[in-house]
Amino acid sequence: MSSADQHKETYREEAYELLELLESSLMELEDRKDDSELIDSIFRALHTIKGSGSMFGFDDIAAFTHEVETVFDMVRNNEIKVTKELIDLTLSSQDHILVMLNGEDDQNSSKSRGDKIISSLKELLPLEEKIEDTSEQTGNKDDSPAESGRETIYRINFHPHPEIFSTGLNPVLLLDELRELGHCNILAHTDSVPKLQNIDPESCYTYWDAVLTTDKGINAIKDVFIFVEDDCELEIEVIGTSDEFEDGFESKKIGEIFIERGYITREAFDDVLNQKTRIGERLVDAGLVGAQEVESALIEQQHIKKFQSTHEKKEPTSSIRVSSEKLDCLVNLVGELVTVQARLTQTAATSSDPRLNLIAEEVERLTEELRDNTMSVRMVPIGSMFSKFKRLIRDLSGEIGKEIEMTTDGAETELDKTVIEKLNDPLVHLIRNSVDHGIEPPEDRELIGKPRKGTVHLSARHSGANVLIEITDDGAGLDVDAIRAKAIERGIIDPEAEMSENEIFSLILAAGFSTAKTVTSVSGRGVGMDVVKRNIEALRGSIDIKSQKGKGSTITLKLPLTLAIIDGLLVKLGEDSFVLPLSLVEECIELTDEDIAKAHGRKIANVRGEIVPYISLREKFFVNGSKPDIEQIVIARVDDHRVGFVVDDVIGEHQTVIKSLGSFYKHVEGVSGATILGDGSVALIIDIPKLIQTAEIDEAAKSNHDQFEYQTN
Amino acid sequence: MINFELQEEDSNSTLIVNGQLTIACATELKDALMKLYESSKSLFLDLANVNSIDTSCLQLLCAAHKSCMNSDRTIEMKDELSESFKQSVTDAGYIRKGNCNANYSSSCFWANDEKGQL
Repeated sequence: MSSADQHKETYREEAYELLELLESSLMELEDRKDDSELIDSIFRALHTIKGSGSMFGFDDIAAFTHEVETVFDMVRNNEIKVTKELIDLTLSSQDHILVMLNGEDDQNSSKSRGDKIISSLKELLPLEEKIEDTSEQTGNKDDSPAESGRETIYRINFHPHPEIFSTGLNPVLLLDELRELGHCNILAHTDSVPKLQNIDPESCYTYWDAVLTTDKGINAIKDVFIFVEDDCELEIEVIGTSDEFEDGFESKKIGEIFIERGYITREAFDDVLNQKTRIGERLVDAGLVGAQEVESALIEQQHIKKFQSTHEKKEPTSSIRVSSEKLDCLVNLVGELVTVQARLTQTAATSSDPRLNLIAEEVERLTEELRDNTMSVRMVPIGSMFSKFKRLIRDLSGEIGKEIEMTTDGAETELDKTVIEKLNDPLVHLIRNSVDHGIEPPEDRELIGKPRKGTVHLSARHSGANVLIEITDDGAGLDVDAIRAKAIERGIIDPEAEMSENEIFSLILAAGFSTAKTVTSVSGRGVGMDVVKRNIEALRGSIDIKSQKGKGSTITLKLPLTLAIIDGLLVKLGEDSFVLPLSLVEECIELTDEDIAKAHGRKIANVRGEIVPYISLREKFFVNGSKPDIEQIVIARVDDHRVGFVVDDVIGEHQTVIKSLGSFYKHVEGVSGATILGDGSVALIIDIPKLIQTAEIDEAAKSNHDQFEYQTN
Repeated sequence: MINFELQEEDSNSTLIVNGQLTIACATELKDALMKLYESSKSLFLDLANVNSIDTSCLQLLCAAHKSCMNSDRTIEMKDELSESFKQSVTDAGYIRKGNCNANYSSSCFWANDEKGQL
């Protein structure tokens, strides 16, 4: 690639990221139209796209973006308000820039679309002002922070006259109004309150200090006290603005605050400063300041500190772009390292050199840390997907005339990068289903007493070694009867068959299944759900569907956290070793000949009163040789069932680096991969859920067969 | 409706108040506090059934406290104060970390403990 092309590629990648950020910020802005931080970040994104664009020769992008940026500049300066129209247009602009970036369009149609967007944007500009005339407006305003929308800290001293109660005023109401303007700390001073014998119960002896952070301007504060202007002493002072604090303004020292407030003189202050205790205490001891004043000033100091910490421009955590290939390579190497380390540990255990053991232990510890770290490098929060889906729902629901809101939970949940990429299509499909078939049109919803707006809720959370992703909608839910009828029609199930609700729901995951009466561009073709199922299973995950007719549905995707290395339980069958995923294993118990006899031919075990069926892996895998007298049952839990697997011996925990068996063995049931043990031999990794499934099918077939035999005899 | 009751037993006296403490009953409160003050040296306030208190009455409580500190008496809150009472104190800005200027060691009614509770 020539260096110019390489630069263009770099620009493209950066621009894609910026456009993604732009899109999610715009979605957020729709809910928080006054958030100046969001507006700023949108402006910066547009600005960067424009600037870099012209630098790398993307002149058309730069020119277009310039127009959009200009409009957003006016939003930044509070000259235009944020409206749905503005957001729609900006989203269209973002799409347009994306198209230009991909070079998908031909020049003419691209330019005409761009021009249309720009003229619509220009219509949003206020009539009196053209873009060239902003200078007149700003000339009038002085730089006082009182006018702008910036956050400013004010110190307010409110000292009402004693008769104020007789005007019917409750000063606490004024304090509450102050609190509504922003973040406020208030302290009441009671030092003027006389002793009980001398107090007039209907006079006010209290006065207040408040520190308020607000962006509403000083007039809003003055307005709070407007009706009591004549009945009090009021002082309002600016002690800082957001600009000052961003430049590293130092947190106010207590002494400064005292001096500013006129409690003490600088000389008196300096005198006391030369001693060693805390300044507030010292000043109180020296009789220069009252304890109450110290507390009030401390409150101010805290308030400012808090304000600073929320306003420090967040340093972008420095990051670096790495190609996925390099990461995959790294993960592979770590995998190999884990295998060799297992060999080292094994050898060290049997060697007579104690130093070797020590070293092996340390290598094991480091390898584990390296493994965890590397795995986490590939972990990405799912939140980025969520924002994309918000946009999807917004567009989709607009298209089909429904009102739908998306809520999310757990956006910070992290998943392996490859898993996230592969999840995209299935999730899109599931969401489209909810939107198309799940949520009813607003009028219908109103008729049945539901709120007009439907909700699609996406949530993600860790659960053990898995991630659970749920898509919940409050729509019409699944119609069990319709599904059943369709399945019978398609010949998928027997009309007489008795199936649980869950099983019927699972039918919709079968290929060619769709109960939609009409096919839309969005969905209904029946090619979706089975593909979803396959995609999820390819990630070693599972789908669960729960639904209530009329109330809504919840689809839960369960995915393993990492694809490459799992904690396994190493077991022995004859000469061979196998690995069972430890996350599913609950316990191991013995199985003696006696136990088998007690069960009278049925493969079940009695575990503390609970009946647990088991599968003999010796039989299943046709293992040679005779079984030992005492076998082990490894009891695993899948969904809500406990099932046992009988093995000869349980060796112990084993960090299992999963190696794929290759396409040759792809269709072998019950085995999901293999791993290389410390001594170089291969152990197959058992696919527990699959084994249980096939065993259940076998059992069902067998009992049908038996029944049939019985009947014909 | 406000209700004041003075309970005297052994050397302790307790003023029990029921209702809302507002400026309308401020004078009554002062009288009740004076009676409490004169009844003994070990004084208690039972305000568990007081849902709200305004500035005028908060002042009166401070005044009573000051008088006690100056005359070798003790005065304490008996029992837990209701959440809405504490909210009134907070809204009025009376919650504090230390003492007011009168500096009566650690007996201030409105002082927070480490958890910020009254």
